[in-house]
Amino acid sequence: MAKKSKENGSSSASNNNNKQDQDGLPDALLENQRTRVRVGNAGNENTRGIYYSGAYTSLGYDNSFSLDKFKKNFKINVLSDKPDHLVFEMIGVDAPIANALRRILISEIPTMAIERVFMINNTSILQDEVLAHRLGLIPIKVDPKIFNYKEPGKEYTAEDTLIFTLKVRCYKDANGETINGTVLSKHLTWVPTDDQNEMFPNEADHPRPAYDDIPIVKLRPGQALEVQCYCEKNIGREHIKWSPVGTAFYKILPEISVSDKVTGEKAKKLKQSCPMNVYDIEDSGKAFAARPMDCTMCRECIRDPEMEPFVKLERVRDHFIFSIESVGTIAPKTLFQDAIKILIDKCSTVENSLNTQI
Amino acid sequence: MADTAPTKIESPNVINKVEVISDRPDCATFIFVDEDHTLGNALHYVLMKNPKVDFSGYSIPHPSDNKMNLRIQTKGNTTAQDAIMNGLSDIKDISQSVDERIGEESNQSHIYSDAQLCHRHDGHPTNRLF
Ligand code: SF4
Repeated sequence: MAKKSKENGSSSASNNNNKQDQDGLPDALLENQRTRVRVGNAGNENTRGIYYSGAYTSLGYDNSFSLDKFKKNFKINVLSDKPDHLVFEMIGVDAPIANALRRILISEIPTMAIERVFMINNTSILQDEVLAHRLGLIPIKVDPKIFNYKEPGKEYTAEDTLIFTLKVRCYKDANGETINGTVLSKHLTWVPTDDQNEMFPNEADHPRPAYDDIPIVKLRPGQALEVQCYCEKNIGREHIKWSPVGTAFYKILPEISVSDKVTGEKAKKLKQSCPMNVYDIEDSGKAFAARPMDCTMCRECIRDPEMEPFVKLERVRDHFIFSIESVGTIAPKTLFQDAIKILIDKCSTVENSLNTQI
Repeated sequence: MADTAPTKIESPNVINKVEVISDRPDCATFIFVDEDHTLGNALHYVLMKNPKVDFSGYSIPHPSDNKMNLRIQTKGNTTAQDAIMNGLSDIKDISQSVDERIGEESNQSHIYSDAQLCHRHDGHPTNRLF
């Protein structure tokens, strides 16, 4: 807010050359404060973005939202696209939107997970409730979109429930080898109810754990396990077992500038001080940030007060490096698209609710 | 989570999603049920970016209460209701262009229609939503 009054003071000067629609602020310092988060020894500065539409009016900069401007500046750039892990850059979007998508990814995309476990026999060392919890956390690979939410207190139906059984007995075979010493997720077998076989005509779509080799419990010869598991559909906000992502997070792009004065011994010292090996030394002996993307903002390189004036650690406020790691049931790209749909849908729900009240 | 305590029934009645408290057209407090920072902060952000809005702020009064309050004061040339509607459509516009852009990045086409992707609070528990 202090900034605002400063701008008002200089309003008469800048109003003369009223440059609307320019890309940034004419004042370099203010522009830096608007677009960068400064990371210093004493703490971070300018962490909060300035979103007020009229914050820079006196400087001829329109801070209000315009879809055209947004579309012009917005970029997505995929950095890594593996089946279960997507990393991409999202440029030109502010934190509240990026954060909304991140939060939806973690806690509002529905999946199926084991919710009820009927113990028929459990002579393993694990207590029933601990076993049930472990079973719940196993990601179930099935398309959640074809299921309904189970209505509380109602009977289970083929449209809202999947049943798995787990029946494992550990024993020693003729050669003295222990068989079934570890109960794995592959031992879970799907039991189709009613017309569920028709819901999954292809063998490949059959509901199953996302991975076959998740250990559930260890058994010794003579111990046995027989349980029935009921999967229900829900979202991560109810319990984390329904979250479709291992985690979804973003970091803000680090920007590091090193002063020209950092040469020779000083440059070597700087290069050595960084645990992430961000810096390199030019042939001329000058240090520079060669791999800024690796920076974790640990601030080790500026911990020495002598170095602080020479190294500028900043983050680009509207440049996010987004990482989505799926638990293996839904592809991360699909998850991101689903998250966008859910955000749009949230808005529609509120709109409908408001419209019915007027 | 016991059967006897159906505390979190998602009512198909979307009318109760938002309650409006307002005695002047340019000021209003909106009380959202079952919403959190996800929508609260996003709405606050787009509202602040609206030149017709003087003030917007949101709070979650208590973590174990599933309510979120959003306060809007406009500059008078528009109503708080219009401002929030504007904000909601801004979020939708942003989301849509993000979706377009990620769609361009992926060669796989969209598999699901919007209706299938409905959020669960939209009700209709008998439809196969999501
Ligand atoms: S903040 Fe840490 S990781 Fe980043 S450049 Fe400095 S020492 Fe390296």
